[in-house]
Amino acid sequence: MIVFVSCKKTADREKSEYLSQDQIKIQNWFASQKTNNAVKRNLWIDSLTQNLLYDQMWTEKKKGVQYTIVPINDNFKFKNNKGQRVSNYFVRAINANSKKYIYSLIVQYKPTNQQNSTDITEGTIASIFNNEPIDTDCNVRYITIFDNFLYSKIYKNNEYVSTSNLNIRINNNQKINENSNNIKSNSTNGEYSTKGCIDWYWVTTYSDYSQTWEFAFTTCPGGGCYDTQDYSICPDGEGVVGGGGSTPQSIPTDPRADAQMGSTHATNLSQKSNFTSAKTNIIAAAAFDKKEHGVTFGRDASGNITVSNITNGSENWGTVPNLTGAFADLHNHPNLGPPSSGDLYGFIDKSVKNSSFETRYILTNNGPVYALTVTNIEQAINFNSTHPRVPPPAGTNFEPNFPDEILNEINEMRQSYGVTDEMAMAFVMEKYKMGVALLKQDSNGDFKRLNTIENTTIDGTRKFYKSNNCQ
Amino acid sequence: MKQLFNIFFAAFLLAITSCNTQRLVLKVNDVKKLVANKDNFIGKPLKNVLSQIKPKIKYVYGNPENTWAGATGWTFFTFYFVDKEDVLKRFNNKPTSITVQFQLEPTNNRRPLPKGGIKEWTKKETKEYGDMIIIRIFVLGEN
Repeated sequence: MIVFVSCKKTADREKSEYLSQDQIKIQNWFASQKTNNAVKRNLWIDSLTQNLLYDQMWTEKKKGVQYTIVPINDNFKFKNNKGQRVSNYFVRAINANSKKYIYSLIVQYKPTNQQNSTDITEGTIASIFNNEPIDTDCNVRYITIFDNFLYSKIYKNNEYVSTSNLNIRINNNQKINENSNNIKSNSTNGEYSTKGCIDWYWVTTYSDYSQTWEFAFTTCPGGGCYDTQDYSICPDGEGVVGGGGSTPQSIPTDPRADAQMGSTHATNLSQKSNFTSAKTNIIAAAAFDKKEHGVTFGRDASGNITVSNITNGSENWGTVPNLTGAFADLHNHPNLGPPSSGDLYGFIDKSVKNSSFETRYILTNNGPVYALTVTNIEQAINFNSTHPRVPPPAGTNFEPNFPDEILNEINEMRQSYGVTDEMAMAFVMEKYKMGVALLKQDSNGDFKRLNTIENTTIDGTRKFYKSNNCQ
Repeated sequence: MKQLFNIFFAAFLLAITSCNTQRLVLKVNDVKKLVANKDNFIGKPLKNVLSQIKPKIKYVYGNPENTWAGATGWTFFTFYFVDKEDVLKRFNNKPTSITVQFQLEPTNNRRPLPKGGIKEWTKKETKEYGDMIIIRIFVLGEN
């Protein structure tokens, strides 16, 4: 039996003043993505926006997120899924209550059954974003507006099966040698080589959270893509918005897809002179006035790292400056406190607003350096909506706090079980699926993810917590 | 003489009234009333809340010495009506707790509670911390 999925129900879809306001917001957002002197990038944006079918736009809501979906004219060709029978949709997500902007991307929808229409039924996009059942089998690819692959999802028998993204596999004691001019050398045990080339793997996570790694391709500093059957996911060096750290900007992946990559980026940036110099300045300023100070790192149109001025806060709070092309920031805590709830919520806000933003460093007073990195932006968005922050009462200068349940858990861990602040924070970040990892710099200068596991005694009468940090 | 009698009579009436003033929390399950009436406690000193609680407080932890606005949990006390041992045992079925958070006192010199909390809240603690100004109060769990 052939099942035809219904086509875009243009006539049925809501057309209201609200949608036209959405259209203006989308147009303004695209305009803000343009960069001076980036001719190719700007032309791409112009061409894409001209192919948005606003008259077929519709909205969907799920779990506190409102999705505005604009079909893209079939005449507009992406390199992702090139030559395939797919339909493309521009999706803009906002918080359904506060209307705050969350993110924008392109969804490519490819039905598994060739007989089925490539148009999607209303409600499908929101369900896909939440891994919920839909009324057809398909392969969905998420890409940036600049045609860079983020990740893909598979649906079979109307059920969500898996999500795949590209990631590097890192050997202990090896770092990407970004300055090497050598083209691919022998890789080590099938993992990435030490001479500037990187082996990329498809990391597929199934609905039961099991994971497989499958070699995808290799990239080298000179450019190009090796050993792959699917060149649509390979970089062509054009118009990439993501990036950060030391990974070449043309690598076609969500730079925040996994803590391993976040750790690599955090480590690499921390070794650059821009960073060490900013860090030294903050340490000096804090030693002088015992206050918080912040700095932001960005990239200019040529991909060079830029650094903002250092801001001066107070003993209790600080701000980090805005900067074009921002991808990381750094601030100090005038004590030994690890990243706070305020740091975390602020970081999520920044990351959902700016898909290139991937790292927040926290420098403690003569103590450890921590970093927050996004591991799963959908989880972060979901956490923000299901566990909204508790704002400080008027007239107080506290940072936003966790909701009652999480806060109580942290307090209990620290006070009743003697767990350290960093262990408690790492634990709740994982337990409540915040989509963010807590990293800590080790004695070698590498940032490693902190993990805390909860366990019970053999007789089951007590629980205890244990660090299980990445080595 | 008449004036003296009036004074004694007034004092007697006051004593009777005070004795009969109903506390909000007579049994542990009543603690939710504190949240329902939180407007009466927010912006007021901790001793106001404590005076409404009749059941014995058997385990308390917190960070009254906090001077940093970035502290996760702000400045707080959490009160339990069961022993610490029971709190540790009941990890799947949390006992009732009241958490009270306070205004930041950047220059405070308050004595920290011992690590791991205290087993009893006495008049001494009320005297020492009772003037801390409440900004948030919430209740979790069930005894």
